[in-house]
Amino acid sequence: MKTGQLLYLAKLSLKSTKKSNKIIIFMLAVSMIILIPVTVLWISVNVSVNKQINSMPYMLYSEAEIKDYRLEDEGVDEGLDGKQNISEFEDIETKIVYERYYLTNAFAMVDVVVSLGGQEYALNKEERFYNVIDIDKSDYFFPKNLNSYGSVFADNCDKSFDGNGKKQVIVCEKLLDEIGVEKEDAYGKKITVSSSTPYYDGYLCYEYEIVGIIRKEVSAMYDGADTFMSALLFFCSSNVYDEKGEGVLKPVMTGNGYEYGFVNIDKKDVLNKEYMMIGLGSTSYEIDSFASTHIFIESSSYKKLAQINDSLIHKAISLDTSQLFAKYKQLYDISNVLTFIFASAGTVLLIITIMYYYLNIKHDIEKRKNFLTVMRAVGAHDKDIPKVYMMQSNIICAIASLIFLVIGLALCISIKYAVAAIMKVSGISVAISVSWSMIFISLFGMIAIMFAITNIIAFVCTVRLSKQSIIEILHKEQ
Amino acid sequence: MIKINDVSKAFGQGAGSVVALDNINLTIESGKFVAITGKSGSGKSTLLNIVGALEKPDTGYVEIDGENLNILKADSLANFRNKKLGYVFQSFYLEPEFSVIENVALPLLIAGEKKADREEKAKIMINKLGLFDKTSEKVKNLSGGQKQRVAIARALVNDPDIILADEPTGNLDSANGNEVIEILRQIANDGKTVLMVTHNLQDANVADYKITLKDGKIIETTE
Ligand SMILES: Nc1ncnc2c1ncn2[C@@H]1O[C@H](COP(=O)(O)OP(=O)(O)OP(=O)(O)O)[C@@H](O)[C@H]1O
Ligand SMILES: [Mg+2]
Repeated sequence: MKTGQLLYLAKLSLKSTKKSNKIIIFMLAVSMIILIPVTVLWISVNVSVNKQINSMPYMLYSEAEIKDYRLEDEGVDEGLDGKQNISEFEDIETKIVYERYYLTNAFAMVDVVVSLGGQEYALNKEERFYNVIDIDKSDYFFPKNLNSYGSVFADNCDKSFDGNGKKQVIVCEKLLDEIGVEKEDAYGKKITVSSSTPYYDGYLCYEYEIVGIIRKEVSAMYDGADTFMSALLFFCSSNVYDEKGEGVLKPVMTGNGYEYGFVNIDKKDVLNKEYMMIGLGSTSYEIDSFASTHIFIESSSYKKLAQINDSLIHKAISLDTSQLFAKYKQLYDISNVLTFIFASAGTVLLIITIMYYYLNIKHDIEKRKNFLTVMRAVGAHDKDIPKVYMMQSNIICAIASLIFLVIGLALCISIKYAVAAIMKVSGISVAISVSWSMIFISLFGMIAIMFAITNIIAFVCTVRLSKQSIIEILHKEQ
Repeated sequence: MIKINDVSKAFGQGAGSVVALDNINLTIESGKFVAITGKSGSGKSTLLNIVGALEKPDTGYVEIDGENLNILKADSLANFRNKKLGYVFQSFYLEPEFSVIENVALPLLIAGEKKADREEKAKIMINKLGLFDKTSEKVKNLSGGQKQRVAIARALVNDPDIILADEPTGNLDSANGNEVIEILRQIANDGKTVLMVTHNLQDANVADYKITLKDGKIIETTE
C-alpha cells in the first residue's frame, strides 16, 4: 500500500481506539518530559567538567618538569658556540641568526604559567634582552574585523598593545563575566595588561582602558583556533618584568582559553593589579607536539631562563587544587543524584508506557484479526499489516513529540538559563554551560528513540499475523 | 473463464491426513452463477479458496483468464485478488468500528486509489445495494442482512470479474438470505462469474448450475 493510503487507514484505525491512544500519547510525552532535563543536565555537567579537568594544567603539576630542548635537539649541543649570551656575539647578523635559532630551541617547558607572546626584534638595538613567556598564535589576538587594533603578533604588537598609543584595549565578554564586572560598568575601567615583549620600552606593562567588549558570539567564532579567547583573557599585572627581566610572577589563573578557572585568588581581585593573571595558550612553536596545556618560556639568556624556570616550577607545584576538585566532585554528586531520581522516574514511566502500548496493540490485533486478514484477502500485501500499525505508531509519536517538543524545549531553555544564573550567583569556578546543540541533539535523540521503540513494538506485534495463512486464520474462526 | 485442472489438496500428514479435494477438473464459463454444494467437510470451501487464490493446491493448478495462479508470487497474487476477485464470507469480516463507506472502499484503498475516487465508487455500490441511508453509519450498528450487503458491496467495488461467496446466507434468516441470493443472481446477470458455496438447495437452484462434492470429488453437475 502507498504511504497516503496507509496514513488514511492508520488514522481511521486510531479513531476507533481513541481513548487508549490518548493515554499513550500523554504517557509518552510525560515520560520524555521527565527524562529530557536530566539528560541535558547530566550531559552538560559531564561534558563541561570533563573538558575543564582535562584542560586544567594543575592536573600536571605533580609531573611538572623542565625540559631544555636545546640540549635534546640534534646538532645544537654546543648552544651558543660556548658563549653564555647572545649579546656576546659581535656581529649583529650572527646575533640575529643565533637568537632566532636559539629562541626556537632553547626554551623550557613547565606545566604552569603563561603570559602573552609575540616577540619584536629590535633590530636597531645593540643590546637585546629576552624574557618572553609566550602564548603562541597570538596573531589571533584581535579578530580581523576589529582592525583599528590590528594584530598583536610580532611586528605590530607594539602599536596594537597600547591601542595605537591610546592605551586602550578590547576585552572579551567572558573575561568580564569571570571577574564579575558588568558590561555597562566595564567601559572606562582600567585593566592592567602586560606586554608580550617586556624588554621593549613603552609598552611594558600599563594600565589600559577598556574601550570595547567582544561579544561571546563573536569570540566563539574564533574559538576554533583555541587561542583567540585565551589571548583575550589578558594578562594583568602590576609587576611582571621590568626591562631587565626582573619581577615577580603571581599566577592566578589558568585555563586554555575558554575553559578556565581561577586557582588561588578571588576573581574580583584580578582588577587590583597585585596579581598577574595568566592564561594558558596552545603552544606549537616549531614543535607541534607540545600539548595545549603546556607553555614555554624563551630567553636570550640561558641563565635567565633557568632562573625563570626555577621560580615558576616552584609556584606550580605549590598550588593547592584540592578545593577545585572538591567543587567538581560536589557538582558531579548533585548531578548524579538528580539524574538518578529523574531518570528512574522517567524510565519507569516509559517502560510502563511501552508495556501498555504493547498490550494495547496486541489486544487491538486480536480484536481485528479477521478484518486484518480479510484486508490481505482483498489485496493488501503481507507487509502492509505491520506497516499500518507502524504508521499508527508514527502518528502517535508525532503528536506526542509535538507536545514533548514544546514543553521539553521550554524546560531546556529554563535549564540553560537557570544553570547560567546559578553559576554566576554561586561563584563556582567551574563553567557549566548548556549548549543549544546539546539541547537539540537530546530532544531529537529522544524523539528518535520514541519512534524507534513504538515502531519496533508495532512490527513485533503484527509480523506473525501477517505471515500466517489467510485461510488458517479464517478457518479457526468458524 | 476459470479452469481447474487436476486439483488435489490434503490437510495434515500421515494417518491423520484429510483429503479435502481429490483430482478436481472443472471449467467455469464467464458470467455464470455456479453453486457448489455438498455435505459438511466435502471440500466446498477448500475448492473456493483455491479458486480464490487464497490457498495453493497440492497438485494441479487453477487458471483464471489464462493466468496460472500457481506461478504467481505472494504480492502478485495479492494484486491479482485485488483486481480480479471479490469475496463474500459467511461471517462478513467487516470492521465494526468503520463506517459502511469506509468498509466498502477498502479494496480501492488497497489498490491505491484517491479518496475522492474511492468515495465515488463506493457510494455507487452502496446505492446499488440499497444502503444509501447507511453510508456513514458504523457497521456495528447494522443488522446481519445489511452487513452482508455491505460485504457484497465491498466485493463488487473494485469491479472484479469473479465473485466468490462461501455460505453467504449462513448467518442470515431466510428473508435476508433470499435477498442476498437475489443480489448474487443479479450480479451474474450483469456478466460476472459467481461461485457460491451453500448447503441450501433452494439457494443452489437459483444458480445456473450446481456442482455437488463428496469426499473431495465432484459427484454431480446439474443444470
Ligand atoms: N486449514 C485446514 N487445516 C486442516 N484441515 C482442514 C483445513 N481446511 C479444511 N480442512 C479439512 O478439509 C476438509 C474439507 O474442508 P472444507 O472446509 O473444504 O469443507 P466444507 O465442504 O467447506 O465444509 P463445511 O460445509 O463444513 O464448511 C475437512 O475435513 C476439513 O476438516
Ligand atoms: Mg465450508
